[in-house]
Amino acid sequence: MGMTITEKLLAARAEVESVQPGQLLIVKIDVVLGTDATAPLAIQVFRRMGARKLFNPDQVVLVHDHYVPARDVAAAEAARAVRVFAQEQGIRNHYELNRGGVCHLLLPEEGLVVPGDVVIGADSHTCTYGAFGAFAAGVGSTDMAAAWALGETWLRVPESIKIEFVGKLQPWVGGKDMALRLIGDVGLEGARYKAVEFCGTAVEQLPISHRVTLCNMAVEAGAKNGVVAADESALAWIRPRAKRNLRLYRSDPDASYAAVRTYDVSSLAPQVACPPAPNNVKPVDAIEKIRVDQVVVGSCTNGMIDDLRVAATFLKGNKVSTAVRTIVVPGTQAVYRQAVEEGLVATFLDAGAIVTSPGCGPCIGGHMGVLADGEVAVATIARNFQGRMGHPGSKVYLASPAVAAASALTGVITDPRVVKH
Amino acid sequence: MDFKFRGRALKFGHNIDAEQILPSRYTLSARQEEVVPHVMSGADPHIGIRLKKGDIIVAGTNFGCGSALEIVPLALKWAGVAAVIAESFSRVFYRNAINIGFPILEGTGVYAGIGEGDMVEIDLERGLIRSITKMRNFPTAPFPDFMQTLMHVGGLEEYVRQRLKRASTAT
Ligand code: SF4
Repeated sequence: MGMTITEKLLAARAEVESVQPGQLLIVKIDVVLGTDATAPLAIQVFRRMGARKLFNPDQVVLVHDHYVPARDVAAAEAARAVRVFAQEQGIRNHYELNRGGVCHLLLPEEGLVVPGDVVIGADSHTCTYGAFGAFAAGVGSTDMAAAWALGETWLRVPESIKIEFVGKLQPWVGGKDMALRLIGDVGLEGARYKAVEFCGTAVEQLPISHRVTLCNMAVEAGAKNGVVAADESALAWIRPRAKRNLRLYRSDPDASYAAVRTYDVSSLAPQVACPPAPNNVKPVDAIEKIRVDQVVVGSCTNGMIDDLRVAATFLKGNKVSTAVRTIVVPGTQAVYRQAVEEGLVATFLDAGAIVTSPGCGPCIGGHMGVLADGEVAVATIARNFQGRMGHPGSKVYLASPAVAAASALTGVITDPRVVKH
Repeated sequence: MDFKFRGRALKFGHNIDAEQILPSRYTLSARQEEVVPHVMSGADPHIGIRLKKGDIIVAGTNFGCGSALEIVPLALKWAGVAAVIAESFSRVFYRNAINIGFPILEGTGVYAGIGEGDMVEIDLERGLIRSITKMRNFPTAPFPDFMQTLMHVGGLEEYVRQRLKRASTAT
């Protein structure tokens, strides 16, 4: 019987002919990712394991993105522990804030993750790399420490769910809306333990930035990984950046799936996930007047140059509502630079927004835009569980850059299709 | 790691996400005394008076969804929670809990069948969940072999430590 792309990716790195869902594998890892949020604990575990050397320092990547620039003394101490470890172990792929950004956008941009890879990362949104034809799953710090020592990890082969999107998207509707609609329909555990494979003519039309959003948010439905087979349009983005050889896989026509869902996106409206969880999804036009205190455009979910371009289209020549603190967070230094060169940063500043340094920014409620009790934010981030961006009494609405930017202009949650720009 | 416990049930709902177990603004701290007061505070602001050492958390489906941070199960362990039993767990929470040797068990019907304050008994090795108060047993999902091995040595850290030790004495 045929195999899915996820099964093929895992079989190749487990060095076996074929695999089946439920099978436990020991898999060789191409890239192990850690961040300033998870590496400090892993370093302690690594030492307690009695490990002295990484299995291969060139396959280990460390990114300072969650709490940079250091938000407090604890963050500064944690960052130093990571820095010392990187030096001691000779890790070249150690990204401090001067060459960094949010990890899940940075690694593909640097060509460190390529199609065919098996990646584990101590961060739940590691599944983002599925957009580049890789198998990628989030793990914890102890898993990461073990992988640092051994270069392998244990993985259970997940069942796959096929999500097929067909039809033609309306203007200002895209990957974020598709992801939110799916999570709204299947729920927070609709894809628990499973691989979510995105395909169909509407996915083939999506630029890489929208595929990133789709795979990134698969974990919000409980998925182990999200994946899109790399096609020519993905390869056009990947090839000039790739630092290693690509291995291309696609699902066999007779591969088997635990479930198949098909969406016609032609009638899909922009979607918004209301508090208190990413599955509380409504079309934007069904949302009553909700006043907004803060808008955030950025994060690993929507922090690429395309996302900033969309926001800039709405803000160009306009002013954000005086009631809305508008924060734009370029995903990486390269995105930031390009945004400067294209004049997007000037557009944001003219409109009354601020542009912060690249990284996670306010996404994790740590700093750079923490919400007070009762405040409302529209954010392009991946999750809005209670207290995600600050006080437990604050509220976060998840949306695309188009909805976020339109809402910044009006001060209420707004359908981008009805805003003049 | 113990395999048999008895404790008082503390009930929570479905989809208890990482934010409810440990709000992300406290996740950077690696100090137990700073983390422990906030454990489960996202789910219940008055948890301080409710949670006692040795309690067993009982929840619905998808416990631990959201963040992959290992400090989430670790914080439960630090707070003295003896175990979590739920209808189901999020993938990463499950994996992290096994890796750090924190007892969890999936049981069918536990959410509806166990009440707040019930005395509950669990046996991880035999896969047993019993409400002593209600005199009722609940079927559990067995652990795959590899996870049983991990549980027996006390988690992934110890497993790797032993493996590295064997490798270094072999050379
Ligand atoms: S941007 Fe947000 S979701 Fe993405 S890695 Fe950072 S904290 Fe996590």
